[in-house]
Amino acid sequence: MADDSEFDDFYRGTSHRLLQYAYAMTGDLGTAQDLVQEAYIRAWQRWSRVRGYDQPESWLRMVVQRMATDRWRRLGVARRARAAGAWEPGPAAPAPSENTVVLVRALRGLREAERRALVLHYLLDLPVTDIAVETGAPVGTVKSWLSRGRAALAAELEGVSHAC
Amino acid sequence: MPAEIEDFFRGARMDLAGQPMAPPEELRRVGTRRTGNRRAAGAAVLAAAAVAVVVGVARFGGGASSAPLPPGATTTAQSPYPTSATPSQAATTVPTTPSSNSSSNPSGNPSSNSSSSPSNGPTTTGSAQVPGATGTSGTPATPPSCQMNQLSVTEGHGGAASGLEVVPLLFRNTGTTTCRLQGYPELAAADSSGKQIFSARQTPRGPAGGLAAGDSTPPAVDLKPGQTASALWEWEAPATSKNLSCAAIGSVRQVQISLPASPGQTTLSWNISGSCSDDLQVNPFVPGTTGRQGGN
Repeated sequence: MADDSEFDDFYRGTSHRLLQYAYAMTGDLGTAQDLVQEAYIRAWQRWSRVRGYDQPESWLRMVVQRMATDRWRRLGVARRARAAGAWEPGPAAPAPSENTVVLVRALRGLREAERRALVLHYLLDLPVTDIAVETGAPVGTVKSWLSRGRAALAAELEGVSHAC
Repeated sequence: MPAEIEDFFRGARMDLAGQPMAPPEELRRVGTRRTGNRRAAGAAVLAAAAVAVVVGVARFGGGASSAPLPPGATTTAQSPYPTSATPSQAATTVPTTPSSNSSSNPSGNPSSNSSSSPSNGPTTTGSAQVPGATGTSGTPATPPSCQMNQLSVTEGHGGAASGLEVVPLLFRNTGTTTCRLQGYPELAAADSSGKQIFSARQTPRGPAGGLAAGDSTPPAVDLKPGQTASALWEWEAPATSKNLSCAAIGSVRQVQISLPASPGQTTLSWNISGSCSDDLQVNPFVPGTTGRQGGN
């Protein structure tokens, strides 16, 4: 059925980006995998609507964001994933490099709005105007998140590399 | 150390591109089963189950039953996400001719930045339990032309060689269906008020990239959702200037990008570095993110 293959194509084309987002926002790869799977499951459940959005990825990120920031929801997602015998990456999954782990840890030290802006801009290549739409903030605010976030991140990274 | 931060992010992107992901059929199966369960519960087959679902919905904020809308959404049918494109700039030209080479795309699939994702075609196997499923397979042989509102246009990582500035423009399919780019984007240099000053020449290749030598037919680049095509924007600093004053050229602050077959445009800011040349070129769309054919 056309919907199936369309969804599958969409998933194959976008799921790594959502994983990058979820991992950078939560700092935990296992959690990120769970959140990403859950987000796409929900997208499939209402695919006829989601497929019509101009920016379906933006919708998925918001689902991930909501699940990630609410502890109850996050636990619920994890429990459901286990109960459903969810797919797991298995031992073949390559571990993130040391630099990536350092980056993600440093991001954890930032305020959430700044982290999100940095991740959207530098990891997912979103232009400032799109970030403004996605976060509902004025462009000027996004720019200041980015510049403050950069400074904070540089300081965090500095600290980490000295600590090592 | 600004460059360093970008390096960290680039590394992370590459790292995670190698992570295996759940097969999509599996996620569809779970989603479809859940929807089915909810219907059963609604029919009160099991009162206890219904209670459990209600509790679940309450606790998890209704995530299971209501879709959160993206920011700015008003109605569900409407597109929730106004793009940066301004529909006022209507396309004046060319109802694209997908032309002869429909099966082309010579250098294989366009590799997006998540290039390691398995690019095998839409395999619809296993569970097709969606009600009303009848037909098979999907994508038509010739996908429709990409529209500006389903693309995200950004600058890739370029570089400046001596006297030459090179920026790959990245066109990422942010929609849910495959679409085709073929030919050239339209680029115009404009001042801060948006007034166009000059436009780019469309050349098969420039000093830094474009089509492979000897090739002058832009390939058809089919973009699946999430995939990226690129077109190289080359700016040669040594003046081959036409009739424009250096002051006029120096007032360029933005580049307006549009597609021949789609309304809307995207604007990227641009601060040219004091050179006095209006020799702006743009090369055709090619797969991948480098703006160079076969150069990924």
